[in-house]
Amino acid sequence: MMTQSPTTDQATEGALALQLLPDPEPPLAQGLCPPTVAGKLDVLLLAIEALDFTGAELMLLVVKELALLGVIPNRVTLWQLRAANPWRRAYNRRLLTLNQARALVLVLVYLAKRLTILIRQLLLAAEQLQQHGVDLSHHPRLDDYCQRFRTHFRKRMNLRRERLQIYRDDDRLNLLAMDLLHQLLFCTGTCGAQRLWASLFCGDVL
Amino acid sequence: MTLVREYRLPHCTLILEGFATQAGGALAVLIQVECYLPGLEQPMRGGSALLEGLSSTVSEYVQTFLSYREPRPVHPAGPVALEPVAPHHHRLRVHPELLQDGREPVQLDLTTIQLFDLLEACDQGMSDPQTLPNWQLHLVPHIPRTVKLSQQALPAGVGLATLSAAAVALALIPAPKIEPPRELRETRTTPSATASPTATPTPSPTPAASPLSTTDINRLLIRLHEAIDTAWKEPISQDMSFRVQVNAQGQVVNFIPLHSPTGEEQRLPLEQLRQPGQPVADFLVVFRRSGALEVGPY
Repeated sequence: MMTQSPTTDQATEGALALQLLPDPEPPLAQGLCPPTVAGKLDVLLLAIEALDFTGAELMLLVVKELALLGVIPNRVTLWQLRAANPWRRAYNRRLLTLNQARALVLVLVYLAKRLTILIRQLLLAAEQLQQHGVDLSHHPRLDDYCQRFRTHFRKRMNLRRERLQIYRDDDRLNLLAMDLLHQLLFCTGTCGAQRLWASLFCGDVL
Repeated sequence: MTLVREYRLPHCTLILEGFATQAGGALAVLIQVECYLPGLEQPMRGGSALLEGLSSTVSEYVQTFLSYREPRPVHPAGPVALEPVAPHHHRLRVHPELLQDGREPVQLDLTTIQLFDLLEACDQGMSDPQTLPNWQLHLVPHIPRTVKLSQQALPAGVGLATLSAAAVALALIPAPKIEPPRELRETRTTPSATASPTATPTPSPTPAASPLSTTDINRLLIRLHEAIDTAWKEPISQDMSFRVQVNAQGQVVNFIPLHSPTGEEQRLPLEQLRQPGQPVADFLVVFRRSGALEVGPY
């Protein structure tokens, strides 16, 4: 019994964190999120992976840390949730439940907060480069981020889809990478999780 | 006792001054707000209206950015307005009525990081239970109606219009006259009626829903064949066929001609063979001009 109690506490902690994110209005049909929700979350997670080499592995650790194992029990589930992004090559046509989407939001925000300093540095550098009219590729760290994002994106997304054709162009994909970096900045804030959660149900993935 | 709350971020500092209603309590009554932003010579000073306007406008603006990747203008005519001027540059305008010493509106351009710092300062204040307990963030995801009512009405309207046009077009086409097959007509042909004035009116040829077995029907068929064959002597010049109803003894109860009238019906023995009774089975009887007689199930 003594060994059981910490895990139960953790599980309730995770459940409490999930409850902080309110249900959308009007209620969703069958409590399933539209595919754009999975898409937005997956693309933001892709940006985190491009920022941090260890991002993909860290996600699993963070799931444990946040006591979300009840929602995302293992690596396979995490992969399945990410493959619910309709633009993926391996799109599995699943719809996320509200709690699965909430768990991904919490993981994403946790990872983004870890990277706050890096994100701010990169954005400041980008602003300065932009002011002087210099291309982003002149900043090694920014260039590295953009390059890795492009690689990840092209490897996993289905570029044959008409909507994604424009991302065969490097510049368009760099713009997307920078937009996602700005969005990640807002995820690092005090109310980042609530803000991201409330934004998921409007607008398109890309 | 005056309380001061300070939210300091790299590009924005928000200072709230006020007092608590009870000792040791939260900052409940706001006296003054000061907001320092880069590009401002003097901080923006104002009351709770300024704080409210700033925090709600910035919050809404950021939500549109997170949702649509591109921010959209928020409250362009309101006391606190925010609109995008260039990618990742945002113009903040504050009406002088919200400012303590302001005679001219404040207008300044913020980068996204500066905007984030302003938002973060407000968010920290809202999440702080010791500062203005009523000043809180209420963000509920709203699912937009993907299609407007007018857009929904369009397909339905087109459908109705097409339906009515089709109805009008189809109404112009004359309705075809329905002619029941000759075999199903119940009327007796006139020649046989005149030839046998004693004939009783034809009972309606209700199909004999016979509960008879196959052997019974075969037996009746043989009897009918024998009866007609022995009675039929006179030759005919054309084939004639009849639907013949028989009773349980195989005697003819009723018959209906299936051929066009030939005027030779009186040469056939059916009228002589007719007996009153309840029909139990239907047979097809064909008189061939060669003299052959065919009897089969109807």
